[in-house]
Amino acid sequence: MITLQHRRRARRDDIVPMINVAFLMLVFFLMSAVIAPPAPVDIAVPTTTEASSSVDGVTLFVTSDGELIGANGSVVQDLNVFADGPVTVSADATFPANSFVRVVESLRLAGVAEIHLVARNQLN
Amino acid sequence: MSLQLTEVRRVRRPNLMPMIDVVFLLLIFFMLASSFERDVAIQVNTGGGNSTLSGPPRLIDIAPDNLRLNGHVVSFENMATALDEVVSNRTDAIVLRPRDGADLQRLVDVMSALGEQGFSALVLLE
Repeated sequence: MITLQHRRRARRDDIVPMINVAFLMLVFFLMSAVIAPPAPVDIAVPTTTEASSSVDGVTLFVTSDGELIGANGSVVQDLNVFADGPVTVSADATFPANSFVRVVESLRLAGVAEIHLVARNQLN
Repeated sequence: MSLQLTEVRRVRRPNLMPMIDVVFLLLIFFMLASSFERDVAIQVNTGGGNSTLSGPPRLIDIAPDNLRLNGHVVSFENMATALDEVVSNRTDAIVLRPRDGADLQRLVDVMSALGEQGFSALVLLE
């Protein structure tokens, strides 16, 4: 009787250290994570089946009027400040394509060498 | 005697229910807040660089309901074979010109289709 009870108690490990470690990791990842900022304008980007590179550099958003908006929500006045690095343009799928080309051309004229368009990858 | 010993030694085990509540709350929060849709970047080029276009013209007009290669209507499926007749290899520059009424999704569809066929140098023209 005594040996049986003893054996049952020994099987039950102390789970508190595991909980401590799990919460420590939880807090670490919570603090190190960066929450993605929401887009300043309502945009449903076009979809693609092509596997391309991931988004990097400055992201500019195109409004339905064809204006370029920065991530902070204000209209971009001077395109030349983006001439150094790559620029990623996010525009709605229903935005007129020739107006989009005009926007890309204005960026190109401002000296931006690398321009990307944001699309959503559809798994096929 | 042995019964009393076990009473004394009983380890105080924490109540796990509140912790499970909190963990599930966090789980639901992150499930709702996260997005599994993967955004990708498509390289777009326009003219005006120092590169020169050589060889026969390769201009695709993108209308909302048809495609024209150098003015002749081609179907979406036959676009690659029609292009092969005017390029020496598939890395040659191809000019895409969206017409009125074509939206960005249409342009991306054409660019993706060409990209998957290996046409890597796509130039946008207004």
